[in-house]
Amino acid sequence: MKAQAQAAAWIAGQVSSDAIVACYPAMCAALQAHGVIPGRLLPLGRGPAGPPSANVLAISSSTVSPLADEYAPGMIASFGAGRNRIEVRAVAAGGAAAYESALRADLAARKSAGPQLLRNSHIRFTAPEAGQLRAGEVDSRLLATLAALSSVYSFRVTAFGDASPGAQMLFREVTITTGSTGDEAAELAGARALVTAQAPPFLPAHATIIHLTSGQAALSVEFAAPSPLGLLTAVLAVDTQA
Amino acid sequence: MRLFRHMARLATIATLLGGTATFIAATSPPASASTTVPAAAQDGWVRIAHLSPEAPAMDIYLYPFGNPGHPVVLRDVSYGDVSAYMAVSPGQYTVAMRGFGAPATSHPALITNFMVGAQTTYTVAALGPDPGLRVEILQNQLAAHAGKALIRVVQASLKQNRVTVSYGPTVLARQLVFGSATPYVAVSPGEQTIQLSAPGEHTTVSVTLTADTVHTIVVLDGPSGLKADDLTDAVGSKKMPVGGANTGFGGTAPHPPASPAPWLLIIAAGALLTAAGFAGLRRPRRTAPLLR
Repeated sequence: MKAQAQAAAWIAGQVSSDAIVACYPAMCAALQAHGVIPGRLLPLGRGPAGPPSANVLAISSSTVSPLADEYAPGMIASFGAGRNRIEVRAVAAGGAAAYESALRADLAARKSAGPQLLRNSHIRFTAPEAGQLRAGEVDSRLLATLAALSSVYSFRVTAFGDASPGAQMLFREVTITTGSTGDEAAELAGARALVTAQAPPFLPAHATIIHLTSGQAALSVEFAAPSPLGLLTAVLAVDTQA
Repeated sequence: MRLFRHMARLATIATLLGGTATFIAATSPPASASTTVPAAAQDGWVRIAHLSPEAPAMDIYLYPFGNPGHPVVLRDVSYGDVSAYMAVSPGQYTVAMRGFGAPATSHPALITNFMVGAQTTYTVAALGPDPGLRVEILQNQLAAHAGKALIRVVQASLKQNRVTVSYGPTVLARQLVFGSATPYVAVSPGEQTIQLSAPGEHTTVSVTLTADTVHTIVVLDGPSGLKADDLTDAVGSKKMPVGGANTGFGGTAPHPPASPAPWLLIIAAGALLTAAGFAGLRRPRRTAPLLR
């Protein structure tokens, strides 16, 4: 029950607010209790089923099936252990093989794009964040957002963040501080306005002015789960069937 | 508003007449000037097409991830406009747009991202409704089969979700859905009829494709039904676009050794457009309209 409540809270807070969540009845109830509207919930029936028309799947250990492995291969968070374990997975419309292929392509694109940001004179990174960029561990929406922000502002990336328990997922959150000696508050407010004015998929779930332990003001930008694939290489696919 | 826009265009032209370098620096600089390798050997090439009839004029920016201070900028891009190819350094780019005339320091709308490969050409195409505008990146082919023309179709009609397109007897696309493209196919050059078919609609238009050319047929909504625009992706050899000789509406490649001739053509074209604007004439489309 604890894992279920944790999973419900995490989905309510971290999964994209327009994502449809497929869930077993008890989990659906828990999600509703955490404020997820019924219209976003797709109750799973008993027994084997085809791929749900959902973006995210929340399943317990007892409901995991090979079929689920096929249509929702990507685990984005997990809670609890043993029989109480709850897994949250991203549904892959094209199946596991296509998902794995897209995953590899996206990793390659992130590994290519991330280091290019390190050459960006408007952004400063610390060594750990630079390493994470090189390793392709940063969500492509964050990479694009940092690039767009740097067209107007100079800033320092103080941390990439992640809130995906039980799964090694991409960093979907970044904290930045102003890189100038000018009006820090105004610049951060401007940066926040820039990111919150975007449209999906580049609209973050949260963009908040926070204060670091040092007292310095910072902007925290966080995108919802799951991380989309293919955003860095948006070349129009050719329809060979037409 | 239109007068204002033509005044702005005239101001740009005045700048051009005062010094081409200013225009290059302000409008379409190379994404990175630091390369030591000859530009033609390394660069990719990008052009921008505004194919969304409902969307207003806009300024489009391509920001290189590593060098945001030197974006590729195309200002006052209106429906039907197709830029020349612009040489850009390979790398990751963010495509952003601002309203026409908005300062570069204003907040951009982030549209999409793409990776420019060396010696690869792309069309950045704005499609769809407004609001709901989307930008698609098309990778272009530059070389046709000898003696043939290459042709592909992009479906950008908002009113017909599925369109079948034929070039003479050759079916280029069956039930092509909005926002998708076909592969290039080789066709015999010459004068031919392009047919656009959708439920309750059948339109034909004549085109003349010359040998060794590459084309993208864009299906759009006209005032009285479907229409098609023919974008010339390449003409002639396998060489990368240089200047305005072989590509689309003419080149703006800013790197040497591009000939200054294209700039003169652009100045002339801009001057004509401005004159047309002052004369109260409707601004001519920059693409090759196949159907009105």
